[in-house]
Amino acid sequence: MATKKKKKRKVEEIKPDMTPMIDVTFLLLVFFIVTLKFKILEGRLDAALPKDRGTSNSPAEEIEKIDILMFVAEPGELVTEFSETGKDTGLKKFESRTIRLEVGAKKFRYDPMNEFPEELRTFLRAGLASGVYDKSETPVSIDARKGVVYGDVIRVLDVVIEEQFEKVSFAGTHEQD
Amino acid sequence: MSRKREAETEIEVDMTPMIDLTFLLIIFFIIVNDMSKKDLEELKLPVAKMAGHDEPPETRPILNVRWFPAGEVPTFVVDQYTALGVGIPQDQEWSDIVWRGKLLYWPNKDPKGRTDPIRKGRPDYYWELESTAKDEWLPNFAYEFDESLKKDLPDDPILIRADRNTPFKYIQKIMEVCTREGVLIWRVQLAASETPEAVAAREAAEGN
Repeated sequence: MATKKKKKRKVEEIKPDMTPMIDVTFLLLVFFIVTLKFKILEGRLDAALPKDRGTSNSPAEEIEKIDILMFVAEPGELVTEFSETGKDTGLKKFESRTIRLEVGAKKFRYDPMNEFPEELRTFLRAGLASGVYDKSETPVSIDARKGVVYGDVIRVLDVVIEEQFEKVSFAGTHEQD
Repeated sequence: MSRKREAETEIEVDMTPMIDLTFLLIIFFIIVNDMSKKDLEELKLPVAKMAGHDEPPETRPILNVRWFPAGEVPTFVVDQYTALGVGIPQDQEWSDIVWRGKLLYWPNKDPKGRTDPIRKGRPDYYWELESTAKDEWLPNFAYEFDESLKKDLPDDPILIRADRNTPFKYIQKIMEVCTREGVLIWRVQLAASETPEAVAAREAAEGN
């Protein structure tokens, strides 16, 4: 009798209950799928700020520099953006907006939502070609005035960097708050 | 006899391949889930052709500038400020800065009553950004001696990520804080999305 029992035990396979483990595993899987966001493709534009603001007592040098003033010519309207399929993206964008750039006496206009300031590019290229400007020496300062938004400035900065100017900086704001 | 046995047999599905596969998937998702995203708030960046692909250094501070049109503050933002016990303006557009989930600016005055160093007499709304820069960023920055100014200046950049519709004055204010005495961060990077063409070109170049 005793020998029989022993024999039976040997033959029996150990079958652990897998159900809880599978439950947990699926839960984890669902969690990771839900929280997954694919890496956003992001880039950056490099710029510099004046190193010596308010602290320098060195004399200012007389050099040719490019001051790009940005004004809002036509503020346009902030509207809801729809995707190509007509779905509400939950984002806002400007429509029929115009920005006016002033470089010295020159004036350029562009629509910051749909185009790059090509006239500014032409102007910068002409300056470089005639030797008035030097890519690595001429400082470019972007002075954004009231109402100008981040996206507008990025367009201008993009063109300046594409024309390979190395000393790009920004002016402070004139607004109080 | 054999018939009886058949009726009693339970159907036992072999779970091993399924569990193998599930674990594999979990490991895949853990790896793909980039934890560094916690620094990045959900923003719509403008597109730029020259936006160099960004390989972020670990220590670079990322300033997320959020912007809300008048009366359109999302509920989760209202909740963030309610938790802090701070009221937010409903009748005008406004913007705030988020660094690692910490809110560095809101239209709230310095409890010590300090004023803006540039706009004399105005309250310093950016005192917390300045103190964060001094206490948390600058100790991790590399310094380099500047010949013309005869002093050491921080040589590491900060990244400013702003919503494309943010008025630029808010970014200019951050830049002003960077040039304050005792901060003097002069390298700034502005985040922009790469154009689809640029992404395709880079991927093609990497493939070769």
